[in-house]
Amino acid sequence: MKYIPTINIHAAVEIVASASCSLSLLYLLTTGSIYRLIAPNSYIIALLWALTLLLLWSTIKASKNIFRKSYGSSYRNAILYGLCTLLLSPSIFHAQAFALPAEEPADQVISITKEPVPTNDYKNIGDGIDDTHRHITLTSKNYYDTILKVSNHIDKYKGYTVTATGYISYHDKALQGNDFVLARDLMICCVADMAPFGLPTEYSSTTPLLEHSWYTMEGTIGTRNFHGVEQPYIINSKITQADAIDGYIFPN
Amino acid sequence: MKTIPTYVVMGFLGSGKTSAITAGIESHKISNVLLFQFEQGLQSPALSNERVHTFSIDDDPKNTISVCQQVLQDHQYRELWIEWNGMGSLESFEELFLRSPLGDMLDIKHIYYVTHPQWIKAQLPYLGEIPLSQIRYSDTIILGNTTQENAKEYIELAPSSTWIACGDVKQWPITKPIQIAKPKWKQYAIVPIFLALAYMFYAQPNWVTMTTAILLQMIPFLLLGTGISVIVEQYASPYRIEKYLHRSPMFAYILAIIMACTMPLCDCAVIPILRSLTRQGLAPKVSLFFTMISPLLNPIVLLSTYYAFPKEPLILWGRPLLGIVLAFIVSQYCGPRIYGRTDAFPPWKQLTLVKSLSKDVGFFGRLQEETLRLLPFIIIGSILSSGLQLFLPKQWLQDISLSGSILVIFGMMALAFCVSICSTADAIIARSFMNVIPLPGILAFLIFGPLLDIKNYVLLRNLFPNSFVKVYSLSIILGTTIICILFSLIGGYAL
Repeated sequence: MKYIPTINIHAAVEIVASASCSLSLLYLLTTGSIYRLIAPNSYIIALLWALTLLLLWSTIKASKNIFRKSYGSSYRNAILYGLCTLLLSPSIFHAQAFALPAEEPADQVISITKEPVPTNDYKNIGDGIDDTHRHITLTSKNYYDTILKVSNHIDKYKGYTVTATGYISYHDKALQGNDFVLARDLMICCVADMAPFGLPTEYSSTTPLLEHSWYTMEGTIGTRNFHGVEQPYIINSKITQADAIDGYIFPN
Repeated sequence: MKTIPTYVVMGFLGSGKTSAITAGIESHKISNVLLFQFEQGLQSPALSNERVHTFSIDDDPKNTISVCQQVLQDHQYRELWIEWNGMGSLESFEELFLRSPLGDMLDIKHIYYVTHPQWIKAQLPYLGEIPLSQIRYSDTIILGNTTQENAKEYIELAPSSTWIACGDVKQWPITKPIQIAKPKWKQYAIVPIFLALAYMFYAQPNWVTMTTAILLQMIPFLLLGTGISVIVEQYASPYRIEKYLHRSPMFAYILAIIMACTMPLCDCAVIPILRSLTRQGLAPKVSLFFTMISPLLNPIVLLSTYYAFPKEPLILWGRPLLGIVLAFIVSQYCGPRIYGRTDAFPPWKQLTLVKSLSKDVGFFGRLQEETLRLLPFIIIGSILSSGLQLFLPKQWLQDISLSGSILVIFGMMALAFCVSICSTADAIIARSFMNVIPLPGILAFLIFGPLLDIKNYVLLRNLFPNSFVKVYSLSIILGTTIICILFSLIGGYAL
C-alpha cells in the first residue's frame, strides 16, 4: 500500500492563525495605527518588528509541517495566535483614538459657542519658547516637555505669555471655582497609562466650560503654591473654541 | 479503513517496559493483542511467541514498515502494543508509525515512558537528547521503584504529562497518578474565549483597547526576556558560572548590579531570566537579587525617574538604593526557597530546562516555544490589569491619601499591583500623584510596582512553586512597608 500524505489540520490551522497575527501586526506597524495604542518608543517598536519577523518565520516553519502527521498536536498555538489577532483587529478596522472618560457630569456644565479657529498644532517649532517676546507656543510635539521645563524653572518663565490648544479637564481636584486644566492626553507607554496633562488655568466666569470640549487659550504664566511647591498656573486667560486635535502627546 | 488501537511504551533497557506492557495488556482484559518489540530484551509472558514481532531500530525502515504492514494485514488484531527502544529517536518513530502506510492503519491512543529515579539521577543527564525527548513526548510517565512522595520532585522533567509512581512497575494500572496531565487544547477551546471576547468587544470596547495596548507593551519585553533566557540556557556554561560566581559571592553581587544598570530589562522580561539563571547553576540568591534589581536599576528606569523627579533627590536616589537594600534582604531569605530550600542543583535537574525536542528547532524555535508558553499568562495579566484600571473606583485613592496613615503605603502598593504599569513608565505616572500622595507613598509605588504586579505575579505562579511565590510576595510587601516607614521617619515626611 502506497502512503499518500494528507493535510495535517493542526498545522494548517496554525499557519492561518500565525499568518493573520503577523500580518495584523505588520499592518499596524507600517501604517502607524499602532501609535493609537502605544507610544512611539523606538526601542519597543524595534522589538515589535522583531516579533513580527519571528511570527512570519513561525508561519513559514509551520507550513513545512502541513503534510507531516505528528503525534500529540494541539490547537494551543493556533488559538493563541487567533486570540492575538482578534485583539488587534479593532485597531485595524476601527482606527479610533482611545478617549479618557470625563470627570464631571455633562449636565452640570454649559459650553461657549464660537466659530472654531484653526490650530497651528503640527508646526515644528522646537520647544516653542520665544525668550525675546517672552512667549511660549505649545504644540502636540512640545506639549509635555515644555510644560515640564516651565514647571522645573518656574521662576524664569513666570510672566511669559502662553498659547495652547487642548481640551477642558477637571481631573485636578485642587482646582478652585470653575478653573480647569487645558489638557491633552499624555501617553508614556500605552493607553493604559494615559492621563490628562496640561496647565491649570484660572477661569473667572460663573458658568463652567463643558468638559472635553476643545479650546485655544492665551494667557500669562503665574504660580500657585501647592503644599509648599510652586507650580505654574495660567492667569488672565482668553479662550476661543477650537477644533479637536486627533492623537496623543508623548514625551520626546 | 478500520484502524487498530495502539499503545506505545518507551524506556531504557532494563527499565521495566516489558513488565509494564504485560500489566497493561492484562488490565485491558482483551485477547488478540499484538506486540512490536524494538528492543532485544525480555518477552512479555502475556503473549504467545507468534503475537510478538521483534525488530531493531537499526533495521532498514522500508523493510520494517513492509513486515509490520504484512503482519497487520494477515490477521485482525484488536490491539497493538509497541515497545520502543530507549535510544530510538522520535523522528524514526514518527517516520515508521505516522508518516508511512502504517500511519493509516494505526490509531495511537497513548504513549507511556517507563523509568525509575535511580536511572534518572545516575544516567539520564549523560545520555543526550533522545531519552529526555522521549520523556517529554510521552503522555504518561511510569516511575517504578519509588514511593509517591519521593516521585514528586521528578514531575518537572515533563510537567505537562501524567505521572504514576509505584514500588513495582506491574502495579501501574491500579495506581493512582500523582499528577494528571492537563487536557490538550482542542479546537472547541475557542468557543468560551470567543464568547468572552465578544462580550468585551461589544460591551466594553475600551477594555479591549486597553488590553491590546498592555499586551503590545509587554510582549516586546517578554520577547527580550525569553531571548536572553534562551541564550543563557544554550550558551552560559554551568561550569563557568560555578567557577567564577559561586566562589566569589561578592563579585557575583557586584556583577549583578552592573548588569542591572546596563541591561534594559523591565519587570516582564526578568521572570523567565530568573528561571534560566537558576537552572544554569547560578546561586538562587544571586539570581533573585539580579531579578529584583533589574527593573529598578535599568538605564531607562533611572533616566525616567530623573526626568520625572529632577528636584526630588530622595526619590531619585532612594528608589535605586533602597531597592538594592530590599532586594538583598529578600533574596537572602527567599532565594534558597526557589527550589526546595536548597542551593544545590543536581545535574538531572538541569534537564528540567525545556530543551528542544527536535533537531531543527534552534534558537528561534526555542524563542517561539518559550514565548508561546508564557503568552497565555501575559494575556490573562493584561485582561486583569486593564479591567482593574477601568473598573476600580478612583475615589478610594483620594480617600486613603487623606487618611494620613500607613494605609497610604498599602494603598499605593495595591495601586501599583493592580495597574501593572511598566517600570520604564511608572516614575512619570507617579509624578502625577505628587499633589495628593506624600513622598513615602510615592516611593512605595515606585519600589513595589516593578517587583510585584498582576502580570509578573501570574508569570511567577506559573513558573515557580507556590510556596516560593507566597513567601516572596509577602516578603516584598513587608520589606517595602518597612523601608517606606523608615524613609518617612528618618526623612521627616508625614504620612
